[in-house]
Amino acid sequence: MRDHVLDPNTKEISGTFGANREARDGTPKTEGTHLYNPKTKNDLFFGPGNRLKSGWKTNQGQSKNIEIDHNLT
Amino acid sequence: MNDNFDTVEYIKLLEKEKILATKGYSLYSENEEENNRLRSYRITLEDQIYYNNRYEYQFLIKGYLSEKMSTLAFISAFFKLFRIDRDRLEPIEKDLKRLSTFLIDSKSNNFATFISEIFEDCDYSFDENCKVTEEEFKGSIKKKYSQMQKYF
Repeated sequence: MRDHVLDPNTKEISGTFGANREARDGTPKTEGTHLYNPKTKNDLFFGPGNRLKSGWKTNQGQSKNIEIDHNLT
Repeated sequence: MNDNFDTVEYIKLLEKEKILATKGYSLYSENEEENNRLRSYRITLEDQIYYNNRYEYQFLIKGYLSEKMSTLAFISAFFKLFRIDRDRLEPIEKDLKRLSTFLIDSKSNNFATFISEIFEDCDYSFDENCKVTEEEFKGSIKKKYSQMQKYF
């Protein structure tokens, strides 16, 4: 996780987590910040209070969501 | 088959991305249009990769719905399968001979997105604010199982 945060390719992106799921079933999305690395496709999402909410290596579709919509899931 | 899957252009874009990387740049930062096209090919390829494993996903979900495994065991097995498919793309891109002959079935369109939605439901079940009960979770998987049938 430390390597990901310190990697110069990792970008800080203000966005959301769960906007697609909100559209699907009404579960509220969370506003926060992605620490996303387009090279490794790894993403960490920090919600309110900068608390780590989730993080994983995204697949191509998920990385597109972050890069274009600034949203994951 | 998918006629929009132009492997010649896909390979050209991969080579360009590789050259940029050696200079410390990326297609993502240097050429938005080409990056979008490359991403589009990758998503098409990814759809097919997950689609090739559709019977595994079907078997796993069916097993969970028929009470053959716990929710935790299902999520764990699903994550494992998802990770394997997610990591299949890179080796295919490195094997240009294989990539140039890769066939895309038009029925695979959006299959990876569909599987990603299940992955995201599984991930959400661990969220501290998750209000979805185990019964509701199983209900949503049952719904996905029904939606999945159109891919067979």
